[in-house]
Amino acid sequence: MTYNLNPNLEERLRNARLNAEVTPAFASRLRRALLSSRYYTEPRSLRFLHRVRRWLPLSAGALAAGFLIALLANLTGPPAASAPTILSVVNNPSSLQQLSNQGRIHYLAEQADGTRLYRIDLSNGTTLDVVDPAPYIMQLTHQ
Amino acid sequence: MNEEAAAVQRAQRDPQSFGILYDRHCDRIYRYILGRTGNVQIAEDLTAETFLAALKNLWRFRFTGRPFRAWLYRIAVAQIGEYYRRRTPTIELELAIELPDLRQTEGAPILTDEYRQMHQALEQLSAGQHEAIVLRYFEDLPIADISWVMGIPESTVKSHLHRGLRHLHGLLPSDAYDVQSQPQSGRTLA
Repeated sequence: MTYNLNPNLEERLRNARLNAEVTPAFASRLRRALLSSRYYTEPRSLRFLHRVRRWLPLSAGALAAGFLIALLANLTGPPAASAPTILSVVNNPSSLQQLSNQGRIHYLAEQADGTRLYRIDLSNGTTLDVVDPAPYIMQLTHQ
Repeated sequence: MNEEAAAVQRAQRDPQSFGILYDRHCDRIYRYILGRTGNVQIAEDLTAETFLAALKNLWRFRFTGRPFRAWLYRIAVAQIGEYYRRRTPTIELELAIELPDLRQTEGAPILTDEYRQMHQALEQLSAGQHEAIVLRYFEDLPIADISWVMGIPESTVKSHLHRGLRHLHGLLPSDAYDVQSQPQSGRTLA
């Protein structure tokens, strides 16, 4: 991009320059502070240690806060979903038969040991898994 | 390696060498910050912050052909930006007019009418245009260095300058800017 700057504007810009200098007192005070700075007097390894020491409490605090938040979330949060567990072993074939007749029990699978696994739908929307330890004694009327 | 690069390398270990760099650039950086903030006290504080940051990060400085002062300007720009971000909200303009001019406090430079007029016009430009014009015409930085200091492409710097000067022409009372009308006295951005 090429443009022409009128000499008048260029001169005006140059005339508008600030003609200021830092006061000698401030300049020497700042100079003294900079030159006696720890940057020159402190070994680099020590400086690294100072930096670590400054960040260590912050890191430890962040870690502790994270741990507390996780703990609280664990205590107050919803229970984790778990696989259905076998709560009881039913030894009363007649009760199983009765539930089957009412349509409240469903056959799920046959386990490795030959026992049959059933699931009962409870009224509050939960389910209960039961095992029939004496297979084949029940007449399944509802699947 | 040129003289400045050698001086910076010495300053990384030797405080007296840093003192030489400080003496060389202190007034320039202070003047730049004073021009941007308009307050002597703030300019002194930010100048101190700038040189302190430069000292802390001096070990990182690698000479890549850019002058040391461009690096200082880059730090100063960051310090000024940080200052404006964290400062408390300003008062209403109507109230500000009633207050005494902070630039006329003790130790402040005496400002000419030309300066006031120009800076009032500059303050009406966008931040990028203002910054680019100040760095180009008040601080005499080349386009490549302005681009690096502001962290924007060179083409954007040129655009800021072009549009800024065009806008400035409209804001200043006399006809000071002329596009392509006087090629013999022209100045070319490179």
